[in-house]
Order: sequence, then structure tokens, then C-alpha cells
Amino acid sequence: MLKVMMKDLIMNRTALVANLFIMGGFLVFMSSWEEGAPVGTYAFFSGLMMAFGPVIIVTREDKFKAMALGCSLPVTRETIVRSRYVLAIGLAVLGILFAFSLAALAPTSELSAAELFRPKIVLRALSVTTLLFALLLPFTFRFGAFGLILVLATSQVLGIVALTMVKLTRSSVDKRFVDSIGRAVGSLYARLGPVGFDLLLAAFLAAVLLASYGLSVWAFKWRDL
Amino acid sequence: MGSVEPVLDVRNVTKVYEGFTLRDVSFSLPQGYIMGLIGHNGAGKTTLLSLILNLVRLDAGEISVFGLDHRREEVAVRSRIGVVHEVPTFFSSLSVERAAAVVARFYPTWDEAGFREVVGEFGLAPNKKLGRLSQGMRTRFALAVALSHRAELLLLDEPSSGLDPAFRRDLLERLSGIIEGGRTSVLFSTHITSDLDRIADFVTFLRQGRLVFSTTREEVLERWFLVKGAPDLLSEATSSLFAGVVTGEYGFTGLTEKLPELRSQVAEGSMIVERATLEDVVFYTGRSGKEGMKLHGHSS
Repeated sequence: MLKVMMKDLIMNRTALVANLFIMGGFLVFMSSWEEGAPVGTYAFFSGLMMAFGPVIIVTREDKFKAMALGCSLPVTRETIVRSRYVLAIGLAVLGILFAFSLAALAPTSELSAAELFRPKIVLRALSVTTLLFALLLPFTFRFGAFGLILVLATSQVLGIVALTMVKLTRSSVDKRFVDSIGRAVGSLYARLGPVGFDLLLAAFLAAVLLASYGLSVWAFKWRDL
Repeated sequence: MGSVEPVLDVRNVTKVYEGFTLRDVSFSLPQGYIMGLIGHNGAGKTTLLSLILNLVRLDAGEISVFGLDHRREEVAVRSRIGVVHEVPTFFSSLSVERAAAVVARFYPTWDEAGFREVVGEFGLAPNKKLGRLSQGMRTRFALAVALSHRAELLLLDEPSSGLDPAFRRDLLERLSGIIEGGRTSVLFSTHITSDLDRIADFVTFLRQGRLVFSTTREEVLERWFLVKGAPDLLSEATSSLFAGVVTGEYGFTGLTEKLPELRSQVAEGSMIVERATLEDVVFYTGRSGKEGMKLHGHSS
């Protein structure tokens, strides 16, 4: 597994570093808003942007038609998928630490290290990254770069349809839906306390990752290269 | 010569795509020999090589490599195989030596000194980025990698296309040299049949996803004949004896493996018989009598 991870890192190092700095630039700008970006919003966007690092590896492999090379080496497809997930988790953690450090160290930033490096905020950013790459990776393993486009385009279309429906029916179902999720999370938080809630969230993320990993292994096994 | 143990055994292999099916292909390659895989573009050569590497799923049939199931034992199998893909698949931003170092980690048998030697012989600059190499040079690089982990089976997909004639000849000589020890076997696909005339021990011919034959090169050359004659020799009975015919204004040229039957049906001296080359076999087998007529119709 380490060999596959090293291969991926060496083959994609420029793209990964470039991604880190491009996203980092935006995050520094965001942290410097005069009115001050709420720390939760900053954590959300950090998580969102750092989720694309792991996806870059699979889509670039597709772009250079290098998947056949990787799968001609003496490794199983399951090992390839496993190494990508481990790498994804590593990149997510490093990416978020990088994003938070940027905001903490940038002279123009309105956010402080004490605000950012709280377990709750780090976990929030990690949750966004994990959920996003857990959603994207099975599609990219099955369909390559097209899988990424497929998920993003489908999400856009579904969002447009949902908003149009809400607008046309003059219903407040969207607001009620979001509110009900918020209430459920709030009630869980009240019942479990901060530590219990964070542990439950970590367990939920681990379960999502495992399900996504299983789906990716299955999807990649069926892919003809 | 090596032993007769098959290093590669392909049995009733079928792969169905929309618009193309590789159907019921069987052949075996003994250890220490070179087999050429020939056929027109789209005949299924790359699909077959991808199936052997388990890059593509089998719909039916079995493939065993070194006596091992190519799916269940894929790591053991692939660690003993060297591959050159039709389209070189390395990232273009890496240098020659960096890309090789990435691959070398996967092979305990990697011979770094051997790699450097081959790179030098192939005229590759170790620091040059792969993206700046020509197609032929990238193929040379892929070959250098395939040759440097002491593979026991080399699978080469059109390795000689894109190479200049001098290097192509050098490559063929190198492949001949590799099998001399009897340890390594080579399966390479090509549409340049003259390459096979030089080095192939066995020839496997695919046409439109079906196996036409898989046999020794000598047998192909002994079995097939090119027959030329006047158009009136092509009766319904004689046409059926040809695997392919191309007709012209003043005569026809046909490929047959049924020369005695043909001779019994036509007058002595009314046709010219020549031994067919591999190129003739590939060219004419691709054309039925009717297609030959059409071809003539278009060209005249």
C-alpha cells in the first residue's frame, strides 16, 4: 500500500501543491474579510476545498490514461483503492491544518489560532472534507474524471429543481427540512454533551468512510481499463 | 530452446463490448518462445492483452499465466510480467529516471544497473521529462522499464509502431536475445507482419474478434498459398476454396490453404502458385470473394 501511496504522491506532487496554494490563497482572502468570516464558515470552506486533493489523484490518472499503468503493476485493485483512501485522509488532515495555520498566521487574518484549533472546529472541517470525498471517490473510481463532473452536475441540477419546486409551490419545505436537521443535531448535542457528540460524529464519519470505501472497491473492480 | 510448458494458456476467452465481441479465443505460448499477435486494427489484439493483464474483465473463459489463475493470483502473475502498452501511460511531468524509480519499487527483481545500461543503449536522457519525448522514445522508455525487472513474460502492445526502422530492427534482435536463455517468453501484437518474419516462433491471428489460427510461423508459411489466375477460374466451386480473393480487371489473386483440392479442379498451368507471406495471409484473409469484387469495383 505504501508503494502505491508513494507513486501517487510523486506523480501528483505538483498538482497537489498547486491545489493547496490556490485554495490557500482564497482561504487567506476569506479570513481577511473586514467584517470577519465566522470561524464555522471558514472551517466549512476549508473542508470543502481540501476534499478536492484526493480527487485530483484519480482524475489526473484518468487524464493521463495512467490507470492502465497502475493496474498493470503487481498490486490488487483493492490495494489501490485502500491506499487512495488512506492518502485521502492524510491529505485532508494536512490540508485542514495548512488552511487553519494560514488563517492563524496571515497578518491580514481576522481569525486567531485559539478560535480555529478547537476540536469542534477541526472536526467540523474534517466532517465536510470526509463527507465530500466519501461521496466523490466511488464515482471517480468507476467513471474517472467524468464521475466528478457527474456528481457535481447532478448536485447542481437537483439543487435547481428543489429550489424551483419550492418557489413554484411557495412552500417552506426547504426551510423546514433544514430546521428539522438543525433541531435533531441540537437535541443530540444537548443529550450527549460536547465530547459524546464529537465521538458520535467521528463514529458516523468512520462509518461513512467505510461504506464509501466498500462501494469504491466494488465499483473499481467492475471497471474495464 | 526452452521447455514446452505453456507460460500462457488462454482458453475459450470471450469479451463482449457494445459493437464488438472477442469470441472463444484459445491459444497457448510455451516458455522461451516469441508469439506474434496479428490482425487488422480493431481485431481484438489490445483487448486480448488487457484481458491477460486483468485490466478488462473476462465474460467467459480462463487465462492462466505461469500456471496461475490471472485473476486470483494477479499480484504473483503481474510481478513476473513486463508490459508495454500501446499508448505509453506514464505521467508526462516526470523525468525518465524518476518515472522508473516510481515503478522500480514494485519489483523486488528490479535491476537498476541493467536499467541504466538499457537507457543508455536506447539513447534516453535520464533527466529528460517524459512529456518531451517523442512517441517512439516513450515506447523505448516503456520497453526499458519492462526489460529491467527480469520479467519472465513480456506483453508488448504494438511496440514497434512509432519506432524508426533501425531501432525497430534493434528491438527485434533484442527480443530474440532475451528468449535465448529459455526463461523469458514474449507475446507482442503488431500489424507490421515483417517484424514477425524476423523473430516470431508462433503466430496468432485474430480477425474481427475471432481466432483465425494460432500456430507456428513455419506452419503458416507452409500451409498458405497465394494463387493468381484469370477471372474465369473463379467458379462457385473454386471460390469456396479461397480464404480471401481480390479480383482485378485481368485476373484475381486469392489465398488458399486447400491447394490440392484447387489443383484438382483447374487445368494444369492455368494458375500461378506462390508461398504466401504473413502479410499476404493477414491481407487476404480479411477479404471474402465478395468483398474482393467490391474492392475491385471501387478501385476500377
